[in-house]
Amino acid sequence: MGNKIIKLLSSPKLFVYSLVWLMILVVVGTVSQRDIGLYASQLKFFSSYFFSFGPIPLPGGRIVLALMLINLVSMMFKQNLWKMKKIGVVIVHLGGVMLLVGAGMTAIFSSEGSMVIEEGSKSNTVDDYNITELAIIDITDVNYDQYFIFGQPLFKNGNNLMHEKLDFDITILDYMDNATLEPLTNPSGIQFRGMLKNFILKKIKRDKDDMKNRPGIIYQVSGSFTESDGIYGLIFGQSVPATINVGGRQYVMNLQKKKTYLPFAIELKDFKKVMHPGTEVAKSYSSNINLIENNIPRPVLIEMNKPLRHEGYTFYQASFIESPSGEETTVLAAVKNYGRLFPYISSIIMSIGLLLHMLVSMPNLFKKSIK
Amino acid sequence: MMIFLKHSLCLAFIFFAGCDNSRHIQYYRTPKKDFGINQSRSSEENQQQVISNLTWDLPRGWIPSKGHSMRLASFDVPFSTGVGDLSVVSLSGISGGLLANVNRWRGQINLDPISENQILEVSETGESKMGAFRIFKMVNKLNKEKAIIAAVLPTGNKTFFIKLTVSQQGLRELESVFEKFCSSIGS
Repeated sequence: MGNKIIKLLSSPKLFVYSLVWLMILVVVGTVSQRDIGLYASQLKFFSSYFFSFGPIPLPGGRIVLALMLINLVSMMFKQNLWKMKKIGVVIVHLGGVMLLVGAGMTAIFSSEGSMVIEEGSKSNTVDDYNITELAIIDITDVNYDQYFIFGQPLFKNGNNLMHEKLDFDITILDYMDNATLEPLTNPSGIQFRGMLKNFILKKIKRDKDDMKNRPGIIYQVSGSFTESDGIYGLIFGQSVPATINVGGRQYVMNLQKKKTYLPFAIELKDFKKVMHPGTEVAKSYSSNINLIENNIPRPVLIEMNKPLRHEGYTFYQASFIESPSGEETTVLAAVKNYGRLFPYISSIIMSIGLLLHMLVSMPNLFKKSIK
Repeated sequence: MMIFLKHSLCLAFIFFAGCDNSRHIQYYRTPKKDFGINQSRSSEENQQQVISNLTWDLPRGWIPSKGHSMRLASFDVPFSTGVGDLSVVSLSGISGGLLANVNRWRGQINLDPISENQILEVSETGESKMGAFRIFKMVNKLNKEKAIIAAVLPTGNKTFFIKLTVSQQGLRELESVFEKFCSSIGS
């Protein structure tokens, strides 16, 4: 039975079928972007293990790529492949394995976000574009804040979130990708706390542009055995922070984009934009920054096609904000991709493999043509 | 060879399925940040006012003043180099429309009118106890002595207009406290 499975997994047919299915996914995923948006399409078809087509579960991009990787690795162990005349094929397979490993690393470990810095100020955090997190911040201490962060994958209805240093538990009741607040017409139940005493957090249709979506969350605080136990709601970007007091400690609760703290800071010294003559359309813009590491500032100029690469991060000049009073703020896109070099290296390896295979096969081709 | 294959299958499975679920709970400390909570703690010192069934937390230092009869309330709002004028007005419905009011304010500081499409671009949203409001900051670079920050809070049958007229310097200093004042408005 085990041998049969391994034989099946190493079959070249599996690779071909997987490749065909991947092509179908690319077409379906591209077309569906029009209706559900880029990010939702990417999540559904490419970043998923399975997705449902009506009642039928179908393999998503991750399963297909995993199968292709397993298939390529399995094929490497076929004894008839390890011959001198097939050295090119072996190298091509190695390149393919490397490409898929790189894709896996990018899918699992890469992150994309933005860094928004006002002129004259500095920042060392990157806010993820899409992923949210629930931050419970203990602000009791005078010198520091303590953050308890619960990531979006934990936001499943009924899921209990707890931390040994927190004096209460949180149970997720509902998570909404896009939500809105509506005033309550009738008095709320006694179990509701915070803004849910006056508002309903209502799920609305997800916008195609993920940036326009305001995620919302409803959760229950329990186990504090105080007045703070109850049902709370948060919406992304709310201007009034939610707070609770438990055991003499004060906590701020916030639904925020996933924050990544960098081991260095960026200070915006000056932001410059050049407009197309006679228009309000920006021709180019650049950020004159200080890269501060170990308290040592290093001046760097980030321009539209000249990103800053540092500590595995790439900072691109993405956008800017200009306040009515003329204050300028730069928006840098921050990308960390561990698999960035894999496509280049694997392409070179596969090219070498194909070249070798052609050279090795050349004498046989000549013989055939002479005959 | 079969054992090796089995191991590589397991490794591939762990690689694709396992890593993704790690590190969803984190704990860290950061230097102190202002969440506006310290002010709201001291806002216990703030006076909670009730006027025409409206309540708000009056920031410290704001002095009730005499205003126009149309106004529900007026305040002198001090900042480092002067005093701003804040008014709270309630009108039925949307009263002339959001765009007309915004352009009227813009006209008061000699700014060109904007179109309906630009409303979202030039404003930010906030939430009060009575619902969402929209904040407009209006600054004319040529007139440093007069700038306006105003909030429009629609509540169904009534719309509340909260407007602070102040210098550009004052606007910068009072912007966040103005937003907190608007957020505290309830019924």
